[in-house]
Amino acid sequence: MTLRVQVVDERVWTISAHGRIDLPAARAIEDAIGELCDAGNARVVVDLSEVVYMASAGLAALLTGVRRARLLKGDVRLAAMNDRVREVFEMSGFDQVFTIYRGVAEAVASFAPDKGPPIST
Amino acid sequence: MWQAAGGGSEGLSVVLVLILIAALALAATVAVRRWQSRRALLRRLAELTRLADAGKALAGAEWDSARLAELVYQQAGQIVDAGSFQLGLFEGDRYRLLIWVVDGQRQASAEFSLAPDNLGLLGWLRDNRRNLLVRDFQREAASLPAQPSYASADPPRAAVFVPLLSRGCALGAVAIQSRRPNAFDEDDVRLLAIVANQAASAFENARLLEQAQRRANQLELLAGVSQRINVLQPLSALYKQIVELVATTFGEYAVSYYESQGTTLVLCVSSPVPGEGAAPPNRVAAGEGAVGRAAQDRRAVALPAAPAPAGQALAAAPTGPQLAVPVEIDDRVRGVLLVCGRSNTIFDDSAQKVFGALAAQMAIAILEAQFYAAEQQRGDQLGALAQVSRTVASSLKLDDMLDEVLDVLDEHFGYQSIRIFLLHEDRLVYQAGIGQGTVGQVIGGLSYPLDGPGLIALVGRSRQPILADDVTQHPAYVPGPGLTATRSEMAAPMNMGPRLLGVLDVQSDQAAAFGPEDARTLQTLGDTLAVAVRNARLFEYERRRRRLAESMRDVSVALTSTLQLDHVLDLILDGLALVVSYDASSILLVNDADEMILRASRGASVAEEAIGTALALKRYQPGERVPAVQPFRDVDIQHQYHDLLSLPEPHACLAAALTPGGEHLGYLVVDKAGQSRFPQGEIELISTFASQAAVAIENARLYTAQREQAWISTALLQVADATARATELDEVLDTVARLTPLLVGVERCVVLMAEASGWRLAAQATVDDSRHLAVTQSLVEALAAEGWPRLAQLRQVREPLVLDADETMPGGLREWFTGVVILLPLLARGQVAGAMLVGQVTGDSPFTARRIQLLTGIANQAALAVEGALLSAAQQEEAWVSTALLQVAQSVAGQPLEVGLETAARLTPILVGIERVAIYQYDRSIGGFRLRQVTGLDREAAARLQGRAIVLADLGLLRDDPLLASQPPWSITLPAPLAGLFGRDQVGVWPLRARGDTISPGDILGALVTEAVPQLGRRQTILDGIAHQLAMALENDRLAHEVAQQERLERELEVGRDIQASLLPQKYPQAAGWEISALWRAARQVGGDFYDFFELLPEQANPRWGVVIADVADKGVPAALFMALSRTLLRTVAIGRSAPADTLRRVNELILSDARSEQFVTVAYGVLEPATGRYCYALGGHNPPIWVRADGSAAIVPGRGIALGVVDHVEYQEQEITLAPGDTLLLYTDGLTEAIDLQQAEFGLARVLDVARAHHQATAADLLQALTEAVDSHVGDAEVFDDLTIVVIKRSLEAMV
Repeated sequence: MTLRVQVVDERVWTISAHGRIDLPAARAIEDAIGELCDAGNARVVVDLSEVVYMASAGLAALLTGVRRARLLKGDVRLAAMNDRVREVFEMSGFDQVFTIYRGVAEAVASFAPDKGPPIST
Repeated sequence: MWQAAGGGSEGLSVVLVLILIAALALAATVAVRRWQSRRALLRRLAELTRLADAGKALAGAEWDSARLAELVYQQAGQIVDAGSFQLGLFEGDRYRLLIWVVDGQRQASAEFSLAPDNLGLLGWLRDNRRNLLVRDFQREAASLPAQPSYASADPPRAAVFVPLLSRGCALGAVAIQSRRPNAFDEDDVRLLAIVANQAASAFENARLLEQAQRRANQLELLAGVSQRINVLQPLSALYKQIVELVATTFGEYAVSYYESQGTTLVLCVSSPVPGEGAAPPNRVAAGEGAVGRAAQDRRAVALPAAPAPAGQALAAAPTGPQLAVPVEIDDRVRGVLLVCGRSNTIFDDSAQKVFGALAAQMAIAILEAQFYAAEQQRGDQLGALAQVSRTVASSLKLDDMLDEVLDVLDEHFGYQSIRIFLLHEDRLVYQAGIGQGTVGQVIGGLSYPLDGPGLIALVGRSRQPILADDVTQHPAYVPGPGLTATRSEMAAPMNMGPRLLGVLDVQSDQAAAFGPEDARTLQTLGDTLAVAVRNARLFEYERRRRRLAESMRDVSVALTSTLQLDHVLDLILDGLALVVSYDASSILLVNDADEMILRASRGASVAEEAIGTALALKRYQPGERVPAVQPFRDVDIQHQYHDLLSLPEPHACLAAALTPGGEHLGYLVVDKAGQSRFPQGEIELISTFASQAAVAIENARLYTAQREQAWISTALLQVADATARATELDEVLDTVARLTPLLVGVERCVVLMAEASGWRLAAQATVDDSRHLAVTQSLVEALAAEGWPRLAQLRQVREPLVLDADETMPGGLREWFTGVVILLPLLARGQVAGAMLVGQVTGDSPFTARRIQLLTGIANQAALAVEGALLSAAQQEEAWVSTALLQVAQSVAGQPLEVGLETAARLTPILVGIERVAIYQYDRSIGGFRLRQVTGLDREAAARLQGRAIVLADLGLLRDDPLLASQPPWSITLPAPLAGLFGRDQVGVWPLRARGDTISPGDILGALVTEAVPQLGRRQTILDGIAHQLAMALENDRLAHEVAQQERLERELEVGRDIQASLLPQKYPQAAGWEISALWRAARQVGGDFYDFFELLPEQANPRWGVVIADVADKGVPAALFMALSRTLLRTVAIGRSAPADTLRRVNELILSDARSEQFVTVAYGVLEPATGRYCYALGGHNPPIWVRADGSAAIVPGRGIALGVVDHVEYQEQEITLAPGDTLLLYTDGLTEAIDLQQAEFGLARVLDVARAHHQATAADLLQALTEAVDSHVGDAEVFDDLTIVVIKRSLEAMV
């Protein structure tokens, strides 16, 4: 699994995953969030627009990541998940853990203090 | 009419009778004639029939001479008297009988020679092609056209000879003979001729066929021979093979091969001659015999068997028939193939063609073999050349190197004598050699003047290789000592660009032993050796210069620490011995009385007694130009010195003037025996040494003479001491710049370094540090372009220049030096390597002559140190580059990582000439770099550095720092704490990457950190190489770890699965009317599924079951342990609670209270009351169960909730359904719905529902089986990633009954 990790502005990083988030992909995401947090970048948007499947390992990875980020006063926010992935989040109740956005831009913008509270869909 | 005759007379009757009689007689005659002619006709007919039969038989006969002859014999026997019969064929000059019958008796077939002088009847027959009838031999003996050549004891009397004619040629003859005279007549001749004519064409055909068959056979054999000729072998082996192949293939022939050598043909190889033939001669002249003629005429020559003239002179010649075929390559006869047959062999046209083809084949094979041989030799020689190159690259000691090269040449080229001459001045001096004429007295001191006679001198002059096939024919040849047997010689110059370094000479006692290829090889060797000799000399020269620098430094240091001039002089002579090899050397100094006194001497036996002697040597007056170095005889006009020291002739003697500060103090005299001149390099060395020695002597004199000025020597000592400690150029220059103002009592100093085209400001200092010289652009440019004429002048005069206060200076120098300025040269090897500017701020001049002298001393000292530093840098670089990477690669490869890194860390400083090296390895677990090895720090500092892992941020690097994308090395400024630990602010960093093309920080396996980024390209190259090696070592280590990790993981997964399996319920609760079936299948990779049944406290006496299905999101032992925890918590909490939502809430809290846990579990938990079918449940992030009704409908139950262990303070919803008889509750994990096939399509909830509906009447076990089969068939061969768990709980219909 190759993740695309890029900085959007000085404060927010995006991680773009694609395909099936199974165990190896989940590890990669966990590592990526971990490395960003290590470097003090705790505001992370995970772009799920190209993700077709999310295994429970993926949920676990995101959970570990969001806990880490929130300890650093940051957050991991999710963007652009498809219906299938959304079902997983809803069934497991993880939609209550994460703030989820329709698009990446909205998710990134949500970190800006002057923009209102995140619009959970 | 009849009436008239009957009524006539009696006369009429008589007439009638007469007429009747006549008629009868006529009739009878006619009848007889008819009968006769009929008989003849019949006989003729029979003859014709027989002839036709004979013709038919002959025409129908198979084409085989023997059988044909038999047929002719039989046919002839039916036509003529063939009691004695013979049929023979002409074969060349022989007549071979196929059938020979004498008086009805068969005779053995025989052959007769038809010699030109004795053709016999048959020879006549052959040549005249006419029939011959001999009615009676005895009677006709005189009139026979030829005399019979054969006579038996009982000769025939009559005979018929008929030639077998075909196309006008007599193929053979048929003869019948009889002992009766007149036994035969013309008829017999005619009949036999008819048979013979009919037979002739058949014989002709048979002959042609046989010829064709033989030829085909031979061609076939030849093809076999050709195929087996293996060209990839030496020529001699090829000849042998061809000869043997021909001899074995064409069994009846003996084959020899002659090689053409000038006008002679020399036997190369020969197979045994069959039968009676004599052995072929060893040498044949062109034109002589079959072989000689074949070579001369360039065509095949066939000779018949020599007639056997018993006991004659030709007994030695081969007696059998011979065929000689020339082997031609490129229109030149290279040799002759000689084929000797048995005495009866006939080399006809076809045989010539066959062997002609073989010769052509041979020519090709020889050509190829020659190419092969040439290639092979070339290959050998190239290999040897490569080895020579390696040898010369590996040894820098000239003599060793030459010896090794000679060994290699001797081994590979096998020349009888190889000698190497090196050019010294104008002579080519024997340096080394191997083989004849290279040992003993003869060769010692051998040299050839370049303009003298001899091939070697000629090669040296012409700079071109010479190849003399026959030295006696070469006008320039002079025999070398011990080489009187030399016949051929080649010599090649050792050229280095436009310079001749020597001559490489090879000799042989064979004429024309060398070919053009050898000459080319020799030239290549010469060129290679030239480079090597040059390198070795340069190395020697550099080493000597290094020694010069060292000894000068020693002398200088020692000098300033001693008061004894004599001691100084001894030091100088000792030091000189380190620099140049001399046989004698002396120092002569002017004393107070202006006499030139021999003050010190080395090497001459009487030197001790001669010390103190005054000699009449040329003395230069102040202001007179003193030559730095000159032949000593020019100053020792009266030859006193040589007489005094009894120095042998011839020898070179050099006088280096000691002229510190321009005053002529004396001479340094160096003698070397056995040569007429000093090499230029040594003259330079001596000159430099003398100028340094002069300073030393002058300083010593100053010291001795003016002790009150002790500060001078202190100053020089300090400078010498300080510069001796500094090895880096900049350090040296800084030290000089700093010390000079202090020591000389001036305020400011600037040091400039001479570059290729201009100058560079290298160091500056002021006494009070008040104001530094501003290094402006204009100053830099003015220096770089040598835009200041004074610097050009300095290069010229090489002596201190005094610049007055009002003289302008470029680039703000004048603003800085406001007073008088002294510009001093830094002289290295007589060249201006740099300059010192020393001056005052104020205008008054403090520069007394003494002070300028001191400054000169400092400048000289500085120049020495500069030279030493430059040389040191150059040497370090040169010496290590070639082997460095190899050493590192060898040490790192194939060793355990720790050992490899340790070796690399130890080697790197040595190889690159730096002090501190650290090797870091990326440690994923800490997300940073851990120190693995460090060199150059003391133990305590190393330990402190060891304890501190670093991350990119520690190096001041961002994750996306553009530096990371740049080409390493990165020059990085260390933040304070690290800089303190490493002892350097600025370090060079080489990232160690597994794959060179990616730049993600995650791909960096480690880092090589050095104390600085070396400026020299080669050191960087070495470090690049080391970094690459280290990266590979780390990558290998990482891969090895990954494999180990994978294995560990596998074991852990196994343990996890065992634990997981042990947690599953062993038995299911029992209740009438209820069936329970469950499937649990653990996936190899992931899995955390479990299910559980337990009995709760009964409510209103109704038993109740807790039903759990759950999925932990992890794998291996951690998952299994978490599963055990979850299961225990669920059981413990549930047992006292009736509300599932409450149970989940409590379990969630308990899980989250363990702060360590990073895990969560999805659970569907329900309480089933078997008596009523009530099922009350809560969902914790798990797939909702499916309710399959008795009527065949199926759907998931409502509700949702968050997984346990995710967030705190969760309230779960609780739902309730009632399972009627015939209803089924289907619990499952996502392993069922998310099972994927090869196309990654999920099994999906819809399919689960379909199967459930289709089997709604089935038992729990059957439904489970149906579901399992459906999901298995969906998955097919795809890999299963997740655990699969299904629990089916069915309330049976029967229970109602």
